[in-house]
Amino acid sequence: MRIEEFENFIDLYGANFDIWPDPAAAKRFAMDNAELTEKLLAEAREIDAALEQVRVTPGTDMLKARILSEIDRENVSAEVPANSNKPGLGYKAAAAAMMMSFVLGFAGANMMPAPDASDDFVLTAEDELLSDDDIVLTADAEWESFAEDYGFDDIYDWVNPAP
Amino acid sequence: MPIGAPIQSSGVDPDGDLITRIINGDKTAFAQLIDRRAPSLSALAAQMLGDVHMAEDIVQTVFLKTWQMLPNWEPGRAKLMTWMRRVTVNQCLDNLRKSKPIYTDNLPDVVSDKDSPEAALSDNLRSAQIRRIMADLPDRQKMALTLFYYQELSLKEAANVMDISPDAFESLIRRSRSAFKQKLQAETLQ
Repeated sequence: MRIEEFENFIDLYGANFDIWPDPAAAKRFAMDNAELTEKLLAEAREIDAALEQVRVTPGTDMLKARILSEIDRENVSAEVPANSNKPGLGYKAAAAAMMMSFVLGFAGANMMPAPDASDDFVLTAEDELLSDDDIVLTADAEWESFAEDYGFDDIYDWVNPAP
Repeated sequence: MPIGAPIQSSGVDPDGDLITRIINGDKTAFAQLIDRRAPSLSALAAQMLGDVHMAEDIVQTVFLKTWQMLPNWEPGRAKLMTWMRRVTVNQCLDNLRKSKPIYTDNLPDVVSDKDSPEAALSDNLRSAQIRRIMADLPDRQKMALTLFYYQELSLKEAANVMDISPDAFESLIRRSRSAFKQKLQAETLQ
């Protein structure tokens, strides 16, 4: 080995002879030419140590669960029948039906006698200020928990994909 | 073009057993692939981006792409891990082009082995300084250092991942190491 070759390898592999193409030859050359190689090796060790100091070993405990759950979601999408171009319609119909019963519930409540202190549920002025959007959101949440409770959450995810 | 064709491959794919099972719909095999490969890919992305959370997002995307791609995989054309590393690298480069991350944030603190708090603090400051130097390197130089030193790939494997010739990769790693050395010396002198 010549000094030019040694410099070439040290620029590439650093001071760890074990990863050089010919570790034995490198060690021998370094020992036989200590006055030439000492400074080069010291500089290379400094770089190696700096690189080693910022080595990252992140944990991946949660990552596996995240990936598998994402793949489950992918599978659900893949099972959507080809002729269902508008999967949202079924959900909208169900939501509309729930909203209707919700609104009818309110109307019915208004026809009932005024609540007294013994009632568990008292309609307050604040409740009456619910906008249409609020009602739709309420129906949405009810539908979601209904689907989860009765094991239809796959269908819920299908008709209501996450953004 | 079949997936895997552009990457040169030699030898048996160490993930070959899992690939066959995954293609046959065995999800536990995919979970095993995550156990086997996610730590290395996460380290690759975190080293590149300097942000473990962003790195995990990227690795998640890589595994999803792998899951979607595997039915079209042609065994023997490439090693799966080389393909996955390449996708990770491309995702990281894309991410770096879009935004420059702050290297000193969102990385686990380096555990110092120094006895005194002052020495440990100095150790951590030094680590932050080195991370900044790494962050300031051009993206491809950073990638070359990551693949060669941290992922411990051979010149040929690393060149394959970066889709360049081994000679070009060798030049790149020399330039990267030299740039890193110059910046390190400049910082030390300050």
